[in-house]
Amino acid sequence: MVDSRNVYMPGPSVEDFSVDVLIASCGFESRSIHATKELQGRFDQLLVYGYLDNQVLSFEQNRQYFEALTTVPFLADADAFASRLTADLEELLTLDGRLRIAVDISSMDRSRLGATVRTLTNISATRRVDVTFIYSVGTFDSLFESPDAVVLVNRPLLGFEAWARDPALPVACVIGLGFENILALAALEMLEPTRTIAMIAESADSRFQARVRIDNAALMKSPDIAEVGYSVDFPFRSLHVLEDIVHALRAHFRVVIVPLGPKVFALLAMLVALEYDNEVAVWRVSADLGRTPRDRPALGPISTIQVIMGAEPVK
Amino acid sequence: MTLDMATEFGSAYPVFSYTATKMEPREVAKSFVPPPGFQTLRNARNAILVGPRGSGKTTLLKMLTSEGLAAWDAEEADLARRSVQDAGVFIGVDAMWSEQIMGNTPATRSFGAAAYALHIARAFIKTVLFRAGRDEYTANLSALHLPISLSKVGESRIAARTAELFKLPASSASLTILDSRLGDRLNELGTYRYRVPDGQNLPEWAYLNPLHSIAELAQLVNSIVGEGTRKWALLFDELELAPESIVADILRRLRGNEPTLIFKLSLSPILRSTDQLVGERGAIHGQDAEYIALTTPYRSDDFVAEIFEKQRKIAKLPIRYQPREVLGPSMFDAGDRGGRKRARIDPYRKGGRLWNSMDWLRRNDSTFAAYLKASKVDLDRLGDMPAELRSAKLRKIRNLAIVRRHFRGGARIDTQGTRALYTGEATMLAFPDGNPRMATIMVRELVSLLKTDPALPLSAEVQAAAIDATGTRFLALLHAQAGLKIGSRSVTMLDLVDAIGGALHRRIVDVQFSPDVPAGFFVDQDFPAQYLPLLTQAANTGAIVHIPRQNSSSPVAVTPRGRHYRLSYLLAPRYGLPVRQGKTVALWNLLEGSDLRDTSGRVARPALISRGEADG
Repeated sequence: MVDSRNVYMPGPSVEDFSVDVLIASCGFESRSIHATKELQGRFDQLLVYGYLDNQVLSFEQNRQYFEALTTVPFLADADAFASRLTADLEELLTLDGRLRIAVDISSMDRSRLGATVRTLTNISATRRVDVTFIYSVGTFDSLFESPDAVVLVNRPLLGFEAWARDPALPVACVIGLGFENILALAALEMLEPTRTIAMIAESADSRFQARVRIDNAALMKSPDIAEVGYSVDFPFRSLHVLEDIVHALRAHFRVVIVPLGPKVFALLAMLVALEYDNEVAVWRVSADLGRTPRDRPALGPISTIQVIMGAEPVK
Repeated sequence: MTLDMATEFGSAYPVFSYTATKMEPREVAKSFVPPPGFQTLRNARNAILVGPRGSGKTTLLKMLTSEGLAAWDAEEADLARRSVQDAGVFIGVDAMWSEQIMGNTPATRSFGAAAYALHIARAFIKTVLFRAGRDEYTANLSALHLPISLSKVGESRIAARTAELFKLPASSASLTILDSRLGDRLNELGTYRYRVPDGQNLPEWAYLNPLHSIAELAQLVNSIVGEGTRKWALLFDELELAPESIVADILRRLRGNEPTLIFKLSLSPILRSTDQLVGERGAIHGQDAEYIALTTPYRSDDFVAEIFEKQRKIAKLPIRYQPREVLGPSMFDAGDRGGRKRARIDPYRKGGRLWNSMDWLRRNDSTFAAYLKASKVDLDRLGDMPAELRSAKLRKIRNLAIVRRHFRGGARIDTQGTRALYTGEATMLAFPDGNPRMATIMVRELVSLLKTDPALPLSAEVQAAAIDATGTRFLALLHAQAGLKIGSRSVTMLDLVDAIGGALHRRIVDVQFSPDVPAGFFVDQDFPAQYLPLLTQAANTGAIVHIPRQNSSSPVAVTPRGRHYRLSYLLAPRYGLPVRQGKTVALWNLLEGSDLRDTSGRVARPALISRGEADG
């Protein structure tokens, strides 16, 4: 990781949106294409990367939509994705001027999201990159069942392992909660935190928060777990909330963020980890390919956060 | 709890993850209840503690430090303080740090070894500072354990030599500052975390010889403070997570005649990444080190009762709140366990719960009726049988009959009604299976319930809620273990344990009644090697409990193959099993008919037993 010289700000509205490149993912959720559709005409180039696994649900419609616009490589894993993304962006970097990139994280898994943030960070070591992360908020389905309780990954996210100056310090865990209650318990059992801050997404549909509390009842009833809300619709504001918490904890704890719940929280976790240059870990607990694919269609609104990454362009 | 409270440093220790790993020794001491192995550990020259997660390894090692011993307030604490005359240096590692230092190339392994070496140095310096009364905590203590008087000159000499041995760029006259510099050096090392895998060499200062250095420093401290013969006990927690080079050095020193250092180590029951700790090259029990198993196939009711008593005192509950009074009688306890008669009322009396269960089975289960007949047991004339004969004939089948009747009557597993089956003193004390972490969680749950509802005994419903809470926490640990991808299938340890539990349940409930139904299994040669990592996880999390046998008696091994196990009693309500011991059968045979034996296609989740919300 490089020293962070990033500047954060609220992202533009759809009406004011204009970038050189939009990066999207072709997955199984119908919202894979939502942002691309909404932002048509507001980007010059489209880079889409598909998944080789879980080609179910809305995947075929998404593939047809994207392939009508551009060539879509289908990549096996996050490493292959990172290599391809790096190569594609390096090609674009030959262009003059500052590069404005938008990344639609709505259908990115956490590994690819991590690879994206790492790749952009590496690029920003030599030139300035304006990145707008965009997120299509998903609908809430009250019949939506909790995901299967299969943990296939329970370790740090690649590139976000962090480093402990004093391994004897206790661990504080900031955990984003979603419907994956077993995953949350599994992460906490693995990490054995002395302090736990549970972050619950607040959205217009209050049924979501209520459901998260029900699904995580076993965890939330512990008196030593603090609960903090964050907004899915305003990621910039939420970034500050998360950063404040991490800042308060880091003097006395080794801090680890477990980004369950909405994907936008995973993004915020990675951005905060960047700010604390190798001091804050991001932990990945996941059912990986063991999960059952389910669709959460886009609700409509697109939330954004803008990051100006890295140094001024090398002259 | 508010966010301020959650981020505040130094408040009460956690409820959710009740674990000694992240607690200071003085915090561990507050609720410490010594298990049977503690005395052996104290008195051993070198020792290797073996147990799964939550079995108290970290607690025991922390209770060998001067900080832990000084803070321990119990009747037996004075004796322990007198008998521990080695200066304990606790060297811990957790999952998060282990992930940060692990390496799979020679270069990254060297990186991990350097980090661990600096960690050892800091632990040693902190111990010296503690004994010298130089940290914030000791300043408020009335009596230190193994105190030393350290002059400024002496402190400066120790700091200077530490700086040399650990290749620090500068020394300091202060050990506190030196400790900070070791932290700075560890931080600097961290900048190589991503550079080493990219091919950059580690700097020369990263190549350290920590045990040799600590041995020299220990002698130096001894000579400076006038304690020429003082031993220093290096307390390595979860040694299997340590870099291989350090493990090899420890083993070499275990076998040699180490003048100043002794070693007390903790290990998981099955070691995955290295076999150098066991086998021909490993430490020999009784010669190089004492192996101390922290699990037992037998019940640990007395230990759990002591934890209950400790928590009762912490909660300041009246002395009348004893387990027997709080929990009441158990369905599974006839009062004659271990040959001791404790029940005031005859548990086999006609019309009692036990008798009713057997009577129901006699009328509804022809195989049970046949068994009674063959055994010459007439339920209607039990009172005519001599008590000893009756007990001998029925003790073996009593708990089987209760479970069989419960489920044959339509009850479903993993429900509140089934959990209520496991309430009552004898079963509740057995339920945590001697696991101090789970016992503490259960007892604290009960104590919190007693504060709001002091009526005795606690109702079965309330006790069942405590069972549920404890079981949920234990399951979270089992869920935390990463599964395997086998072809297109995902299989987790819990899938395997579910399959085992389901198979044992069916043998008790569904097939012809037998008093010799298996209570455990041995890992036979037919059991596929691809599933062994899941059994390793099960052993190391305590989901399965080792049963020592003549040819597999060592508490630690490199493979579960050939070893005998039973399921943890913590899982008994999940599978509807009685709390019992019994014979073991070949695991692969036991799993006959399970989805795990179907190697074709995606059969990831063995749905072997039905679960539901309704009770029959």
